[in-house]
Amino acid sequence: MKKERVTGVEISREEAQQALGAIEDATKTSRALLRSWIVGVFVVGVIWTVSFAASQFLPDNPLWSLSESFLVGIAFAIYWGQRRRSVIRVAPQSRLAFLHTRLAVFYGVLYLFFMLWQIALLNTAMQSTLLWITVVMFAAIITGVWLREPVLIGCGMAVTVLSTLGYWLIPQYFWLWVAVFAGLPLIGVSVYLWRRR
Amino acid sequence: MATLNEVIHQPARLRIMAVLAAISPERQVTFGFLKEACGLTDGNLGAHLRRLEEAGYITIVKTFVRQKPQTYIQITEAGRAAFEEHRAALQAILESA
Repeated sequence: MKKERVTGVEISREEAQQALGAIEDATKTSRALLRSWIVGVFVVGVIWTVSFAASQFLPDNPLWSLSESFLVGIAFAIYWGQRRRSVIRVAPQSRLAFLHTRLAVFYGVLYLFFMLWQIALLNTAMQSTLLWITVVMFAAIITGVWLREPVLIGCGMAVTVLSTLGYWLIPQYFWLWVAVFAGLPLIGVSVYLWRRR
Repeated sequence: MATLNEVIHQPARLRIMAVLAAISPERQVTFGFLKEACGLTDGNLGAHLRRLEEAGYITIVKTFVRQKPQTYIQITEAGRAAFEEHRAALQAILESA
């Protein structure tokens, strides 16, 4: 077996091939960790699709009341974020940590305002749902800009426009409409992001 | 021309560096995650991490999270550059044959 000596290391072509294979395997492991946030998007998409569709077909079923399903989504997102932080974190004092802190404050304030608007201004479940969808999509667009992720920006804009159109044009089928055009797109985007190299 | 790196070439350290290099520069992973990702024991991983830290390729941060000790590992800029050079050297060997 022919070996090459470079800076004291002797290595054959086969060994170089094996080493590159090991690097590729390790890289996949890291990428899976980095992509774990996508699971949160998928689960929220499933919750939205199921709860919106159930609201269309089972409007009297309290099990699928929207506020409960939204709370489940928020609780899962918090749980998943904590779980992810147990293996990976942003280095303290880094530029990224600064951005994370700013974004966390922004999301906190945004959701507080959402609750205020919901309590003070809105009367129906449809109004609350449209506001909630657009608030979450607004956050998705901001996150997409921050992460330089055009898919999130596009998804946020498309879901916002389609949900608003459904609200104004076909209110009798609003729940089914948002199940298809707000819930399913989140599932689709999460699958796309996960499968992407 | 890129050259092979004796410190990184060792298989366990190569895997450790590959895992760390695939993570963005401003992120740190836990000792537990690296142990699982690289399939190493605590003692083995600790020894390889010390070697990489001595070479200036990683930084090790020991801290407390919710009153429990936690160790985070982060690749340095020098480590990332050394790893990329090592990878380029491996690639060059493949292409030269």
